[in-house]
Amino acid sequence: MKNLVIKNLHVNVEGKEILKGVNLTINEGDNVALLGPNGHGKSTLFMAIMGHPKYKITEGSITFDNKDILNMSTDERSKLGLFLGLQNPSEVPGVNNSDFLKNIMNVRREKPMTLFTFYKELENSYKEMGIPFEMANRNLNEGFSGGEKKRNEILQMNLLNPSLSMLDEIDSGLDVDAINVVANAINKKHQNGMSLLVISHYARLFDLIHPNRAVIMVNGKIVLDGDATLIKRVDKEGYEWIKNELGIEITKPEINKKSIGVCATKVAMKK
Amino acid sequence: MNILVKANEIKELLITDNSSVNFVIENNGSLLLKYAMFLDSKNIDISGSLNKNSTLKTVVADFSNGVGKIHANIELNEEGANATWDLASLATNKDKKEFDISFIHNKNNTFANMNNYGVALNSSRLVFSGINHIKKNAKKSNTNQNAKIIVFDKDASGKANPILKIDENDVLASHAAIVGRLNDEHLFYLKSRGLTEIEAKALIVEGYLKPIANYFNDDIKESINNKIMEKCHV
Ligand SMILES: Nc1ncnc2c1ncn2[C@@H]1O[C@H](COP(=O)(O)OP(=O)(O)OP(=O)(O)O)[C@@H](O)[C@H]1O
Ligand SMILES: [Mg+2]
Repeated sequence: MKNLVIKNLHVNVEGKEILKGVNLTINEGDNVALLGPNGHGKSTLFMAIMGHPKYKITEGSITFDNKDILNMSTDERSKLGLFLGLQNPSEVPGVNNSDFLKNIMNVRREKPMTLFTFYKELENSYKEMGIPFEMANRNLNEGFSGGEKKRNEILQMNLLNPSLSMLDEIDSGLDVDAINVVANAINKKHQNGMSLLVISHYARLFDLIHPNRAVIMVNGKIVLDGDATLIKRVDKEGYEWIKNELGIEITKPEINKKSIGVCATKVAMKK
Repeated sequence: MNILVKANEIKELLITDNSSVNFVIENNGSLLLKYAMFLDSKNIDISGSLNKNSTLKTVVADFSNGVGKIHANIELNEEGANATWDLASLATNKDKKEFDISFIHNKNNTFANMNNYGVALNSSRLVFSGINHIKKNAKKSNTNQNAKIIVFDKDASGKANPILKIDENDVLASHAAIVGRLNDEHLFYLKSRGLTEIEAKALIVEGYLKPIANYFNDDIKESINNKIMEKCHV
């Protein structure tokens, strides 16, 4: 079974402990909402699962499909079937979007696709995502609007056909129509067996993709693991009740700290 | 090497031995000057002048090794002269490469367009200095310059110094220069889609340098591709 099993995961970022013992299992076929206040470690968890070098694992284990992924490189994790749709996708200078897409599809094939097959598949995916096909010839995410970047993430998910997709605030920056397009794409893949772990601050996306479970991260730990009614409750009441019911003090994020978002978009460009 | 392109003549020249060139293009003449550099770097001088309604197209694919400076000085001497310059340069190891390129607009209605693309790997250094100079009495001239360098490793460096000197009103001029550094986020993004570190780097290098191959024959195209692969895989 292609389950993701995370045990007692501790992660440091720049010397500071952000994840403090995460335990979480995503079973094959699951569709899980990951909730939690700003700055409590949701994106950090995704980065650690995918193996970003800044996120250092100091304790614990992660397995996927019964394989220890912590000694795999990031590209190996991707080829194993993990996909991360980033909160802030990088603008990669000089890389043509369609060259990029062709490469990432070919590296997981025995033989490279013919150009014809590639273009057909690409054209269909662009159509499905409602992205103008001309954008295939732009540079990867360079100058894309917030919403265009997010759609480009889902387009890649579609082309790569992962077993488990981790989507980080995929709905932020999307207009109403685009949210529907993205939700439809996610649902279609889910029906075909793709598991989901989805971060969002808004119930709207979850109303469209119907998670079967919701988990809440506070202070770098999963503090609640329940059914989808948790989403409604957080949407109505926020996170204060957790403090009262579970007796957990919710630390406020420090404003002057960089979050992943800021970091990832800071492209070292001198003009 | 001295080259004279006579009036109305069309000439094409492919240089693969790093030799310097001095040219004159007479009225309505046209010169396509191509450099394919795979040998040891050295200093090269490219200089010449364009007469009425003449055209110069310069294409430089630099995959040489070592230390060298390319100096180009191109004078647009008569109305309707039109010159373009496209460069792609790959610096690796301890290479130190400098490109010093000037277009001088001496008359009305002259046109120049310069594009410099570069990649600096390992502990190499790459410098693009471009000067587009529109002199007095060169009204309605149009001059553009575009430089783009990506620097990979922390000991590598890249510098782009675009300079526009404009001594006349009623002209069009533009320049853009970007020196980008490949950072962890870019690499992580590409790797998270299944590309190995080498595949990710090669993809970026190709993005900057491969378009120049379109100007060359199949043999040279292949050499360019091989060089990109060979130099990224170290
Ligand atoms: N690359 C980084 N560099 C420095 N600090 C980081 C980095 N990534 C995360 N952090 C810090 O780790 C903590 C958790 O951040 P994370 O981005 O995981 O939160 P989040 O739960 O995803 O929040 P949000 O809901 O706002 O996206 C924050 O204090 C953040 O500043
Ligand atoms: Mg986040």
